[in-house]
Amino acid sequence: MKVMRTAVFCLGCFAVFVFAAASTCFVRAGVHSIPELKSYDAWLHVGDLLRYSFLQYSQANPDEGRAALLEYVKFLQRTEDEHIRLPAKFVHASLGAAYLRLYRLESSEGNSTVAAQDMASAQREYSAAQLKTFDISTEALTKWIETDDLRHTNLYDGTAGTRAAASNQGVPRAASK
Amino acid sequence: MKKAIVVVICAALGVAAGFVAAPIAAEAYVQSAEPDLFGAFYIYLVDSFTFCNCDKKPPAEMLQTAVKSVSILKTLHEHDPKSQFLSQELALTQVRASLLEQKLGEEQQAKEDMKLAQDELSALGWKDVSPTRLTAIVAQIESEYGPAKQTTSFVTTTR
Repeated sequence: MKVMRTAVFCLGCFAVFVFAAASTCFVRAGVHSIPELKSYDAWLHVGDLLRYSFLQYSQANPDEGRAALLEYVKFLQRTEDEHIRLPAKFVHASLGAAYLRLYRLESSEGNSTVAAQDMASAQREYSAAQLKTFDISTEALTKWIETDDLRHTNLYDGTAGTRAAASNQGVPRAASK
Repeated sequence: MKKAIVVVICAALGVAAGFVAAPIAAEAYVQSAEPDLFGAFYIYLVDSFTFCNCDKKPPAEMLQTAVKSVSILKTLHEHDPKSQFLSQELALTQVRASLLEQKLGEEQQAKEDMKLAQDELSALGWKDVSPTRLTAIVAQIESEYGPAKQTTSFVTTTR
């Protein structure tokens, strides 16, 4: 009988251990570890997709460039939809830059309606990014993205040396901080 | 009283075990539920090892790393053959391997790898796949993966 009681007590202790471990693991993983991991992985993926989309946009034909930019936009929107923790300013400004590139691409293809929609989306994103010193008029944004594209194209062409802060590519300085 | 103490100790040990296990469980969860996000971490590692000669390794060692990276990216691409992102990664890594082979005097292999990369990038719609252009692009990527690359300081991480 005593052996039986000891066995039941040990089993009870084991159950307490398992319950405490499972609930702590569940709470810590759900509240802290998973969101942290997702935001870290998303940050790395944004960097990779940024380079991929820019290279497709600058080196490939318009269809491939468009597809890559839209993939980048879709991923950034996903980070917003799934509440993946990335700085909001950075996400909005990155989306703004991606839409501006789509705007340039559609303009050069003669798709003026789609280009106008892209410009409106870019302005909406930059407005949401709340960059105090950043002019978001159509003229200013068009000029800005042309200069930024030229700077980065020169870097990838090897005509402007190397060593760029490419992680800030297409994102106004204020947003990347 | 003794029994209560034992139960409390069991609970405390459980909490400690759960606390330690949470990051591992999270990793497993993200790996299964968000394979694309989890893959990003591996691709970042592959890129870092391939394009950043942070440890000032000799070219032969860097070539080994690049060849290994090509093999990893090929495996990832086999799992997701539609991914143009992986195609581009693979092609640029092949360019990097080709440049290292050239440096080591392995002309034939260098030519083959460059050709594979050019074919891959042409299929991605690239207009200019000349070795000069691809070398310049890889040089730029190498510079991005220098010691100061991607300061991810705004996201603290358990990794």
